[in-house]
Amino acid sequence: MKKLNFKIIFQIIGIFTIVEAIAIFLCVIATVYYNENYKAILYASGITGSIGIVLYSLFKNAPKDIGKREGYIIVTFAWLFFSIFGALPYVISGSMPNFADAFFESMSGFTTTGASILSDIEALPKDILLWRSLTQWLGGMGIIVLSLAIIPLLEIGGMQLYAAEVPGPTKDKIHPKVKDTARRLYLIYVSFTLLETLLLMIGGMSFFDALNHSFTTMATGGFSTYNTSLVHVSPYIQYVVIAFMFLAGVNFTLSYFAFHGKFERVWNNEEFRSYTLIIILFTCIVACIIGYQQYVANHSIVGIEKIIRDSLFQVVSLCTTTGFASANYLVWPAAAIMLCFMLLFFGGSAGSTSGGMKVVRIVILAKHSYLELKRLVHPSAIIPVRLNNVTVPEKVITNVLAFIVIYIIVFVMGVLLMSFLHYDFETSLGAVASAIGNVGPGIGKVGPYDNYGFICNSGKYLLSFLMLCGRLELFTVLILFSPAFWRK
Amino acid sequence: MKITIAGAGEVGKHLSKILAFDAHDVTVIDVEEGELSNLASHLDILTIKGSALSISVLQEAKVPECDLFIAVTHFPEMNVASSVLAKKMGAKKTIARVRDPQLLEEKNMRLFNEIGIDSIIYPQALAAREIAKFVQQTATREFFDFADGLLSLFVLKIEEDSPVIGKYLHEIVALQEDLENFRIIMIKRDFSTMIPRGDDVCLPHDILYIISNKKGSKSMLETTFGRKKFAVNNIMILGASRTGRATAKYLQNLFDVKLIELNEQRAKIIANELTNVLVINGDGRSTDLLVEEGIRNTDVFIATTGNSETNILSCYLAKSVGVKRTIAEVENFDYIALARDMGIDTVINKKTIAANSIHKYTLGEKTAITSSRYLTETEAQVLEIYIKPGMKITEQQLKFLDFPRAAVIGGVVRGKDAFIPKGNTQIKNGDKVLVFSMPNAIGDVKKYFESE
Repeated sequence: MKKLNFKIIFQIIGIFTIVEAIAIFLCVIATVYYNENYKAILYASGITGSIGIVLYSLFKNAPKDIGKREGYIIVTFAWLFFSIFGALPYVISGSMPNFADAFFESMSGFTTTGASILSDIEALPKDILLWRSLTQWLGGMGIIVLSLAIIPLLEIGGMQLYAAEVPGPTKDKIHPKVKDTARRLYLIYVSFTLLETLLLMIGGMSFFDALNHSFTTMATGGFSTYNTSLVHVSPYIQYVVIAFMFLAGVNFTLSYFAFHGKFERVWNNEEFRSYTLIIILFTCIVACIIGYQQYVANHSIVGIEKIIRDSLFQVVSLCTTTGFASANYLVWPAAAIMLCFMLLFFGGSAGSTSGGMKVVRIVILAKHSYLELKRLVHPSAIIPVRLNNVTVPEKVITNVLAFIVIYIIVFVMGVLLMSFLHYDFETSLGAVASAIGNVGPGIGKVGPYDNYGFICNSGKYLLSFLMLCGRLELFTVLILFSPAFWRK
Repeated sequence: MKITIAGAGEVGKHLSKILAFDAHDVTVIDVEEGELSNLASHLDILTIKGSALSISVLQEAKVPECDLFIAVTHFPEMNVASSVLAKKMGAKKTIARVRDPQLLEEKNMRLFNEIGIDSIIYPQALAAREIAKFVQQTATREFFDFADGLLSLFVLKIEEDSPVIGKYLHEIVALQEDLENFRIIMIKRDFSTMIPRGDDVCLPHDILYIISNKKGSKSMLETTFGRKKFAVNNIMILGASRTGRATAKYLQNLFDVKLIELNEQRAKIIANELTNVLVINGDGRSTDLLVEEGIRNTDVFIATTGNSETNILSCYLAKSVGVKRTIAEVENFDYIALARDMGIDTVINKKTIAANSIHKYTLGEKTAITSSRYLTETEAQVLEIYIKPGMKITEQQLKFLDFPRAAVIGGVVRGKDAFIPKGNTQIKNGDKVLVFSMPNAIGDVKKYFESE
């Protein structure tokens, strides 16, 4: 095998680090506006920026070939570095003096998980809050995709990086060039974010809160600037957030087609239809369960709208892996909690900002398994798996099956390790499922009204690692642990 | 520029590679999944699986908005039909690859234009034309004319006994009375190409790329490099491939041409078709046959079988029995340098030739670049640029401009005069310049030639 081109790896990670430093620096706007202490943001962006510049200038003359292996290393380590440097503002500002806490919060941000160690979010300085939301926004569509869109340097080998960061079993390009594809995706992303900010402000939110919530909704992240997430906001705001969480869970390529008036193409997309169906189905079942429980207890149902809204909000929030809460689903009947737990695995569409397994993989798995029954009846028949009326290549099916199996293995291993750290069964299940799925809230002691502050340092690092695995869809990270990858 | 290429065959792949490196938006259509996924993982392009005759596939490839549609599938009928379709759907320019030399004739072009095909290419015929040209210019390995023949690029290899070995380039040039008449633009040594300075030395086996105007060419080749033309009488062509047949047709009335073909059926057809060519049915890999057919008296040996290995080895064989010039058609790029090392004088590559004939359509209307071409065996590109007001290149004398090191201005045409620029030359409005550039410098070079 070819020798790894380490120089280009360092050079590109250097570039990404510089991009991150600029992003941290942007939060200084909040510092100035709210007249806060400059120290955290300036030091953090200064340190990050200088390390980036040193890395870049040391390896400026690296040979410009990026193979598949370099791509995987760059993406995994870039994300690791993002999270380490992203933790600096938290540590320096004193909001989270323990580095494990800050790293967890930062990783949770970039991977759009939304699990927080904070119990009093509102006590944080505004610039730190803004950075916290911004990490999610950047991590949602991908900071590497952003860099591809704005930095001309990365044209060579860009596809390798793009493919490693964008989720889904197959990658669609909407333009021949990666750079232009990335730009179009970000354009949609920014437009949605601004639109949501506007709609939230109309609902009476302050600009700062509206912007932060838009950042974390579009990224399907789930960091809120309120201690009680979105429990105490008006129904209007909850509906707006539901709508945008739903949009963020749709493949952005489809949103691009919708922007161009090709709605037919959106509706004909099987993944989109399955995604919509899953949400409607789960909402109905959950609403019925809650309604029935209330009926049994009180012999009457009051506030049907609230029941439906709460069910819809929780289902969309969990299915898109956002993790906002408008009610505590852990007080619901057991069946409803179980449904919520299942949703932790599903995730939104491929090519969206959501985590989880992605609906398209579940659709392919379901079809493949169902057709296997048919194949047993007709052993000689050729029965292809079709998606959007096109046969899914054997390679993709194998990849999907392997993905799901690995997902489950990682999940089980994660739960096992958590139980070694003395956490109870439910908490381990919930925390691990939530971390791999990049959701945020889980079940047990890490429910929607709780936080991860009580988890020990080892537990935090373990969950951070699982979040990274989940965000980069397992293969990108796990491939680095395979001997075949490093063999000469 | 938005370019759609139908067909990911050898030519299609080569085109998509060079066009994607030139930062065009390239979309490739092919029916085979395998080639496409391979291309997509190496190049920054969009690939679409499907037939180039399917309207929905063409629409998905955004053919209605594309600037250039190139049909190079394996089937000429398909190429013509899909080009017509693409044109009617809104493609600005269309190019189709055909397989019939008749279609290339000027008078037939109108027909094609009427149905919506702007240009047709037939790489084998173009290859044959190149071969015929090299046969007639025997002092160098290859030469190319630029600016309507006012400047020529000669490619020659330094033999062991050349008078210039061990000399500094500035010495070689100083032998000339008039410095403005020629210059060594590039040297290919082993596997890399460099743009030399005055203090570089000539070594045996170097391949020199020399730009020269009319005054320079004759004296340079004879006095400086000790090259003389020799008379060509006997030509032997191995393999009646399309290229071989077309070459024989070009050369049959000028020289004594023998064509060797293994397949009897095909040999008979050729014998009927080309009356002035002696067609021999036999295996060209056999030395006995070649000797019997007089290879020792052959001046030029041309190998154009469909097999690159056979071509290279038979040229090597011909060289060893004393043939003065050998020309081999080689399809595999990795073999080209190897073939040169083995002493084969000229290597012809259909893909490069096809790319050259298509490249001028990709230059767009805004640019001042009037023509451009690739050279076989180096990755360098030659650009012919017409100087317009406001270009950065006209601001100062060349030595004060920070012109990229990996590129060089090889020649200037001013009015009817052509000369080689020096440090104190100032490029003027209305000049035409010839720029040689390595691929990594193209972007920087273009900045010097942007007019307002």
